[in-house]
Amino acid sequence: MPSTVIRDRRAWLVAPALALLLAAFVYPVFWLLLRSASDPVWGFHNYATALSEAIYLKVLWNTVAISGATTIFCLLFGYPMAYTMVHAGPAARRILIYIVLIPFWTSILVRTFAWLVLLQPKGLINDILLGIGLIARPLELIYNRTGVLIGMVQILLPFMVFPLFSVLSRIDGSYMKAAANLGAPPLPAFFRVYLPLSLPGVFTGCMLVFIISLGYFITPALLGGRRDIMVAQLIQEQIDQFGDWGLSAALAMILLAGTALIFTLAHKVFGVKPAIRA
Amino acid sequence: MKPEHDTKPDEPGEIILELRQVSKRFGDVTAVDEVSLRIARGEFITFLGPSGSGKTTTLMIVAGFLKASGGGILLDGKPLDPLPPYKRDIGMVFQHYALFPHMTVAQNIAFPLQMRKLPKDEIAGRVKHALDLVGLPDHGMRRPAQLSGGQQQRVALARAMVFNPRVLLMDEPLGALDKKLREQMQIEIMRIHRNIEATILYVTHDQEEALVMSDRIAVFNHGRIVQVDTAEKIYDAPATPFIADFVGESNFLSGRAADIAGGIARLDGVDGVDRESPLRGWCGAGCVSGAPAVMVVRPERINIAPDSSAAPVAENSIAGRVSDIIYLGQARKYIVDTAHGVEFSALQQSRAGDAIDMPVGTAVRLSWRAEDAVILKDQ
Ligand SMILES: Nc1ncnc2c1ncn2[C@@H]1O[C@H](COP(=O)(O)OP(=O)(O)OP(=O)(O)O)[C@@H](O)[C@H]1O
Ligand SMILES: [Mg+2]
Repeated sequence: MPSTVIRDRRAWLVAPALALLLAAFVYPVFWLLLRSASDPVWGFHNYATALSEAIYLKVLWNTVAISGATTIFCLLFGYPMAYTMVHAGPAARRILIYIVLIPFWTSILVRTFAWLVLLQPKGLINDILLGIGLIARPLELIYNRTGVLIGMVQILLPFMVFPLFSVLSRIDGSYMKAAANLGAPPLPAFFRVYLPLSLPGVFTGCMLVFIISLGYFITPALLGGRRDIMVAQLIQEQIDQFGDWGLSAALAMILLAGTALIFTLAHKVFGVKPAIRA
Repeated sequence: MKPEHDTKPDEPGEIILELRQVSKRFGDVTAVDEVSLRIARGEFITFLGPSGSGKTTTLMIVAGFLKASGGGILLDGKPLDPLPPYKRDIGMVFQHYALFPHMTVAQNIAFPLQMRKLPKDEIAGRVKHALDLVGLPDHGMRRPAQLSGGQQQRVALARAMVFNPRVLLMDEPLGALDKKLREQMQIEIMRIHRNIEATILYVTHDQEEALVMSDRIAVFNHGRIVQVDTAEKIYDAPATPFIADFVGESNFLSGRAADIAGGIARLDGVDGVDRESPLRGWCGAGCVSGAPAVMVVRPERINIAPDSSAAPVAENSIAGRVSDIIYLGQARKYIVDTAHGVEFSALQQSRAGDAIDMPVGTAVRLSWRAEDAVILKDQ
């Protein structure tokens, strides 16, 4: 059949991406899996260590908690932002898109260092707040959870805003008109009609931010304190300082499995298809 | 031109909705231009007009989605303008239905009742009743996407009327349906209108739909209402040549009105019509002796016969030659090039043999009675 032939030929278009994925993802993952179960001897002892010793559990929990909080803050800031972008005039929309995008084009390292400058005790933010007399002593904005969250939320916000923007801009305005016409004041209309229709965007945005957060490294390393270590830092430390490839590989596999699990669960619970597929 | 009869209700009965010189400007465009209209309780009134004539804009102002640039609206005698859309208690069926895709049919219909905080069991009862009314008793648990276009239309209707709105607005609700389904839904909507005694403001640019469904029709053109009347009056006594042309089909002859007597006028100045057989029609809107005027005749009121035959059957008559014959099933339409250089169309019930009688090229005589023609002011 001609259509099958065409489809078969088109399949080659995905070959380069597929090759890259195999070389850069499937192979390393397989290698890690092997390493985690064989270093230094065969068995599940690396996993047992990672999931039983308090300091590793603490780091795993940190990772989930920081990622969760980052996701929630990104949603809280990103939703109104995306909403405004969708409902602004064309000129204002373009400006807002650039406001979200420009930091996105800047290196994460540069942005993280910028936050370092802004947030430190003698940084711009504390200077201003002290200057206008709003606070008496400098706020501790850095080397703690607050610093990590500020940095991560700012850096990951675009991953929330753009999926939301794409979904919100496809919500037909007549739904909200219909809701108002049927007697729904603005807030009930939002929660009963607009929000449910925007859930695919919320889902995709949260998924992206959460999953990227799980593996985050530079920002927590620079802006966080000892108590805010995340899995990626731990892995780096284990390899760099102790050369413990087995435990590191196990931690990496746990991270990967957790991510996959969350993705599947969320998919099942919300029953929403990620907006990217639409 | 501004016919004065557009402000006084032709229908008796209590006025529920009144538009007072409502205007809407978008920059330089005047979408709605001093529209005044009084609608009686229980009335079915249709806005009919060409694309861009301001029908939707007027409806949106009534629903509260647009703010009028001038004028005001009274609902039950109270100004409507300060109320936001959700407090107006005006139902609306949107052109593309706007059914909430994430809710079932029953949830969609329950929505306006929940917003009015009715008790649960009453909501259930009214949802069921509304579904019965639109003939979808077993479709409550479906999603809108699982319904056909006609079924979605019914659900939209059920949702818009379940809360007994004071006025029901419909913007081309049948526009997306095919002809058969459209006709079926027209009857359905008329039946529901009678059952629930709702006041309905209906928008269409399908003149047949307007003629079939409405108690009264408001004809829009360039943002203005040019005539408000019953279907019969609009058809038989159009206020302007534009209306005659837009509603149904018409033939036009331009000339000058003269010799007005007993409501009948003569049309002078049409080339080739001799003094012995003057054209007469009754004197309609803006028909003044000596003023430029247009005679309007409906194709089905014209008798067509071969020129060779005996005397014409009606007093108005002009000669011509058949240039085309269009077979319409129940009738035949003859396109005739008249001696005045105007094209006329005459409709004749299909009878076997007609076409052979007067094939293309036949010299024919068109004739019609004076009472079947109306003479209007030339625009
Ligand atoms: N938001 C707007 N901004 C600018 N002009 C508008 C806007 N809405 C409508 N118009 C203009 O107002 C005029 C009336 O539009 P409206 O939608 O009321 O026409 P309509 O009678 O409903 O036509 P249709 O039969 O095509 O639906 C048109 O010329 C239209 O271009
Ligand atoms: Mg319209």
